[in-house]
Amino acid sequence: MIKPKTMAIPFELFEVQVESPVDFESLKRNRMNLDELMAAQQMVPYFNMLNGPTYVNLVKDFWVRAEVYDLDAAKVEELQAVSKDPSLRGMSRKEMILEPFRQTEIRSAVMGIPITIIEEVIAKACRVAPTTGFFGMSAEIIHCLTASNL
Amino acid sequence: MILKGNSATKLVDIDGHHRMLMKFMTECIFQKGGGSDQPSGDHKLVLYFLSVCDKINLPKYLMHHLCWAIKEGIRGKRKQIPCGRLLSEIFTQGKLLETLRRNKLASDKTLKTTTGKIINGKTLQNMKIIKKFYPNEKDLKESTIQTELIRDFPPLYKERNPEVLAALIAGYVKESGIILDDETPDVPDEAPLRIRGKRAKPDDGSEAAGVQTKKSKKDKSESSNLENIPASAPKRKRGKGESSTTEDVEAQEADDFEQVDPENVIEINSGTSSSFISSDSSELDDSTLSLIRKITKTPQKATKSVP
Repeated sequence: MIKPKTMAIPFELFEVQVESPVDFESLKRNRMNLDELMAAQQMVPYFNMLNGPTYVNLVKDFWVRAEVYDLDAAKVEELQAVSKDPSLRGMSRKEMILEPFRQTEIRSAVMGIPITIIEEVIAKACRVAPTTGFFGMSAEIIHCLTASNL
Repeated sequence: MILKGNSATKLVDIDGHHRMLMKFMTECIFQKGGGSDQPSGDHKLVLYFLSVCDKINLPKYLMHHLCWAIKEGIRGKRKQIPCGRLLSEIFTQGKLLETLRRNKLASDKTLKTTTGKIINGKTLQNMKIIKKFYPNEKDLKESTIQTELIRDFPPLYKERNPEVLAALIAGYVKESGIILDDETPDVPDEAPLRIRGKRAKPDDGSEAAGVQTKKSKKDKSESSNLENIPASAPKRKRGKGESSTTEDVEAQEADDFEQVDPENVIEINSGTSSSFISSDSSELDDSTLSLIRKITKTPQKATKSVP
C-alpha cells in the first residue's frame, strides 16, 4: 500500500527551491575572498555538493507524503494507543509495544518506496561532521544577540 | 556589528561581505519563501555565527528547517520546497535512484532534472558590490553529473529485497499512471493532425514571404482547387457597418475553423485554410456558399485599403 499524501496542496503547485552552488574562485577573482570564513565553517564540501542535479519530480513526490516524527508525534502516538486500549494508560512505550523514540525523523515515500531521513543522513550528504558546531533557535538567544547590537 | 546597531536595518544597508553571507544563507542553506530584504531572527542568528567564524551545526539546522517547512506545508501555509538539491543528493546516495533506474523510472523527463544558478563574480556585479565583473574560463559551470557514491551512507529504506522494491514501484506506477522510461513515445509532443488554430506561417518568416502568402491566399481562394469542408460547418453573420478588410476576413476564417467540429476535419495539405474547403458546390449548404463568395470578393477591396 502506498503511503498516503500528507499535504492538501496539489503536486503541481509546489515549487522546488534549488540551492545555488558557489564559485569561490570566481568570487576571489572579483575581490571577494571568503576562503578563510568557509574553511572555519568546514562547509566547502557542502558547497561543492550543491553543484549537481536536482530531481524536481522526486523531490515533489517525497514532499507531498512527508511527515515529521518528533517528540510531539511520539506523544500523539502514545495517546492514540491509550485511546484504543485504556488499560495501557501509564505504561512505557515498550509496554505499549511501540518502538522507542530515538530521534526526530522525516518519514515519506518516493515512487512507492517508504524512506526515512534522519540527521545523520543529512550530515553524510552534506559531507560534514554530524555533532559539532553551534545550534540554537531559542527566543532567548535571539533576544540576547539583538540586545547586544547584532 | 552586522546591522550597525539597529535591528531594523535592511539588507541593502549592510556591507558587501555580510550581504554575500546573507545570500549564501537565503539561497544555499535556508531558502526563504518571500523577499530577502528583512532577515528573520533565525537568519540573523546564523549570519552572526557565520560572520564571526564560529562553526554552526549545519545538519541540525538543515533538519530543523526541513521539519519546519514540512509542518508548514501540511498546514497548507507553504508551497515552497526547500533543499531540493540536498534531497536529490540524499536520494542518490541512499541508492534510491539506482533502484528507480533498475525499474525504468529514472529518465531525465521522469525525474525532471534541473540545476541551481551559480553564485559567482557576476552575482557581485548584480548586487552592486563590484562595478565590473571579470569572467574567466575557469569559472564554474552548472553540472548535472551525479556525484560519486559515499561509502557507509546510512540506509534510507529498510527493504533490501529487489523483488519487493520492484513490486512497490509497480504498485505506484499502476496507481499514479506514470509512464515507464521505455514506454515513452519517440516524439511525444507532436500531434498527428493539426485540427485547430491559425494557419501555418512560412518557415523563413521574412517580410517578403508574408506578402507572398497574402497573394497566394487570394489565388487559392479564387481557384477551384478546394475540397473537404464539412457540410455542417457553422458560419458567423457579419454585422451591419462592418468593413471587410483583409484582417476581418482572416479573423472570420479563423473563427469559422475554430467552430468546426475537429473530428470532422482532415487537414490534407500544407496547413493553409484553403485546404479545408470543398470544391464541389453541390455538397455545400447556402451559408457555406455565401461565405466562399465573400472570401472570393473581399481581397480585391482589401488590396486597396492595405498599402
